[in-house]
Amino acid sequence: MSAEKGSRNRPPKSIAKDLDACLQCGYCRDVCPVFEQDPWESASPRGKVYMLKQLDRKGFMDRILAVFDREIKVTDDFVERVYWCTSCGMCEEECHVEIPFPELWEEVKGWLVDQGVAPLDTHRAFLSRVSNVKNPFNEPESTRGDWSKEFLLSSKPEVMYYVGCTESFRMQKIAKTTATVLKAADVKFNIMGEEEWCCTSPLLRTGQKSLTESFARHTQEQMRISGANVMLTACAGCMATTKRDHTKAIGPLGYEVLHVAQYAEKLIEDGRLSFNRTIPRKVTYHDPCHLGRHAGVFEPPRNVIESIPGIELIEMPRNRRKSRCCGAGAGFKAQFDEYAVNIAAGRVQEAIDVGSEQIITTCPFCAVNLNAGAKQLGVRQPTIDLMQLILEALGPSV
Amino acid sequence: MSKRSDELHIKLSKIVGADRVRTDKMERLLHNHDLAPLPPLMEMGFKMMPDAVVRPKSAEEVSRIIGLAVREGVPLVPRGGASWGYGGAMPCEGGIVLDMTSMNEIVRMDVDNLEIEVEAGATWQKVIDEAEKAGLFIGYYPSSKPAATIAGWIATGGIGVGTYKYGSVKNNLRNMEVVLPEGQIINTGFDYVSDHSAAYNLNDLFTGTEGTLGIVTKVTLKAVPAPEVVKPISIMYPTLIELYPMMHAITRKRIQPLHIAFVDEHHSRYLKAMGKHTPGDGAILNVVLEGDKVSVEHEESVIAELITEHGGTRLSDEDAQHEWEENPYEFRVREVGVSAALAEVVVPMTEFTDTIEDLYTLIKSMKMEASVIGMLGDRNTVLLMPYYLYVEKKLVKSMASLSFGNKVGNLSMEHKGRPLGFGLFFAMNLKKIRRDGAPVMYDIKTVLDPYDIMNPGKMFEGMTRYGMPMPGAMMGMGMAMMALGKKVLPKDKGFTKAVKDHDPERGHHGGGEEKAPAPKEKA
Repeated sequence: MSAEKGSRNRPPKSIAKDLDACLQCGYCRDVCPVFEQDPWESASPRGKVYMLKQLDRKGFMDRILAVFDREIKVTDDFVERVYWCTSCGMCEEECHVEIPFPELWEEVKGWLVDQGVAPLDTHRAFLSRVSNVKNPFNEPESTRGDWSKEFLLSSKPEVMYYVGCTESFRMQKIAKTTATVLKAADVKFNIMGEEEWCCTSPLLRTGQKSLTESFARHTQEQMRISGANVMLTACAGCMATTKRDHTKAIGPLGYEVLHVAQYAEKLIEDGRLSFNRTIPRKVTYHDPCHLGRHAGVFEPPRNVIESIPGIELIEMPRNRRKSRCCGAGAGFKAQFDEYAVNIAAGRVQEAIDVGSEQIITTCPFCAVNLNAGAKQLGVRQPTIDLMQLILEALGPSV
Repeated sequence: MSKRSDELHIKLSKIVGADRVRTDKMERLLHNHDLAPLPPLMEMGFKMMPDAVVRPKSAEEVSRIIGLAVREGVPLVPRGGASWGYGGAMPCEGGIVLDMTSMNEIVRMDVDNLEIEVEAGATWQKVIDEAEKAGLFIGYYPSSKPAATIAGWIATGGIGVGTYKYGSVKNNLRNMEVVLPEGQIINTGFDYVSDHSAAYNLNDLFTGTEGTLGIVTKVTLKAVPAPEVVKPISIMYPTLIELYPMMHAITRKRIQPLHIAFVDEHHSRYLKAMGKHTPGDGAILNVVLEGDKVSVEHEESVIAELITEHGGTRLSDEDAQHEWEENPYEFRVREVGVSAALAEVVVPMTEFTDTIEDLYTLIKSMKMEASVIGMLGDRNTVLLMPYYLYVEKKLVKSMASLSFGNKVGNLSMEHKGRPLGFGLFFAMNLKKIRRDGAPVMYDIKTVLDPYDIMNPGKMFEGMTRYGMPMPGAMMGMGMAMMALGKKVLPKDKGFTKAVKDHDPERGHHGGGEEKAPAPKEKA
């Protein structure tokens, strides 16, 4: 039962202050999407922090108190509870003492990985695959750029399009759509092809930090070779990771990282992108946690949507900083798919309740999971990527 | 796992299903405390670890769990959000913790009858939000609304936001469904109409019980139509003492604000030192007006006149709004990594200045870093919530937090007031505070809970692990000694030290590219 190994069973020093700060007020409980799925205290941020606090303060007295049934140790149950989290960051948002929770959970996961008691089964495979073939899907590196054959790539690009693993190997349609939109705006772009390596988001979010530095340097080198000073991503996870975590790992990058939603907003402002078709439709926008709360990008996608003639953008009650997670993040869907889909179904219901006909988002993971949620509900409320909506609005000439 | 846990697991599973019972050590550990940071040492004296934790979903399930507890002779501890700090929701003789938070459905949102029927474990935040969607307004709730549950606050009988205008929850109860300690499910009042009739008022009887008389499972609450305007006003003074004349003057006018609250200058200074947004380093009086536009405008003009008379700097509307939104977050100061021990006492308005002066003298003599915040319960009832900052890992200072609460309680009684709440920590004070009413309470408890299984050790003194009662006098003496010990120790510098290492820019995961606006609905 016990997963405790070696002597390093005290949580990392870097979070000690946060553990002291937590007053156990419980404001994090009701806002946590995974707590709602299994509402035991051990599944709540507050409960996990209490356990960590006891582990941090474990001392001689606890040995005596073990006689009284009080046991403080890292068990398999506790490890699973730590991974019972989508890294959505709502706990931080509501926190009385503003504990930077997504960072704290990653620190804790990293500590558990170092002890050899984590990550969970499905997450372990990520590391070997990303290490070997530079993507978590175990697809051959050489096929990464296959979707791009029909596009004219520039050798002197304005921007580099960092496609991301999901769009390269699983959702090529979004990659093609993004490329088509760039083409329509006459943007000179290129991709890294087989030299594009995973951003390491799936590893970092599950506590596996070992590859991030070398992968970040590789991406930085590819950007240097390309000569472009803007790197675009069409994935919220890639955006947050290549910008924030890569900077954290290797220092200033020397180029700007933008999500295509931000770039599209600029293209519209500069008159390079304009919409010919009127789309009479009520849509809502789902903020991906990684683009919204984590990267602070809220308005550009909304501005793009609202610039399309005929579109009516309706907000769900939980939006922007208070947006509800789709349920997929931080390896949660990979390990606990059933619960992830339940969370998505709840989010889709919110969209239906405000009268939306279609959900627009800016993250392929959110799109996949929300569509699974709609399927579970048995409703017609498709989630599409912002790029697909743009393409539709550009009209048949593109 | 203990034998009792194993047996209870099997028997409870038969009642609620295995999914809603836990007896593993982690889950039990997480239910052995509330907001108060207790040194693990307490476990030697009291059996704080529950034997089982269960999440009931209906009054019938609660009734059957009670039947089991009676047969097995096992104590029951009802638990809501566990966001109070007197040990009311933690076991002290082991037993079964009933986590009531899974009973959180809105049963009936009755706009026509201006009332809401809700399961007892819903948070106040949830009920407030749902009421708002339906065009209703709940003007009374605890500051800890994001976590506090409906019945949790009922169990404390406490003062909160809006008590000044609407009274506390006890003044807004139509009816409650309560499961008694022998398993009967009863209704304490009436849906739809008030209980202004003869016969004992059971709504009142089952309020402020700290879970000692039964388990509340469903509640019907009164609501009012949504107001046109909610308007917070903030006025700053150099010190809390200088704030008093204005606060007093407002209570002596016929205007009826929703809420009147204050923080002292020390509170503002702690926030400022941490780099938090604060309008200045003085004491702040926060008055929240609510209602029709014309009446709010009138009340605002009365306050404006009083400012001319009594002085004070009126803060901008943005700052006032910020103060209002920050209301549930009284302990931001802990972010630097210190703990805060809170005491809650009420004193009459006329004793305000003398009490505050005595409090500051106490704080100084105990060499503490401390502040006083509070709110009004009515025109003459001032709730004071002094808190003191300390480093939790230091055992003596941690224990001294209890003695601080005790000292503040005694001080309030010298000023015609009294402490609020008993829980586990202040159970020994029941006779002292309720005086000749206390024996009646003992009688009620004995009649309704003959097996003494309903949250034992709370409100009424309980048993230690060794079958001996905890004599109040000894506990009081112990607290006095702890306080004395605290006085001879060096001056507290926990906050001063911690704030030096504090990085106010930390957090939000490196975000902040856009300054995100609050959620908003498209018009």
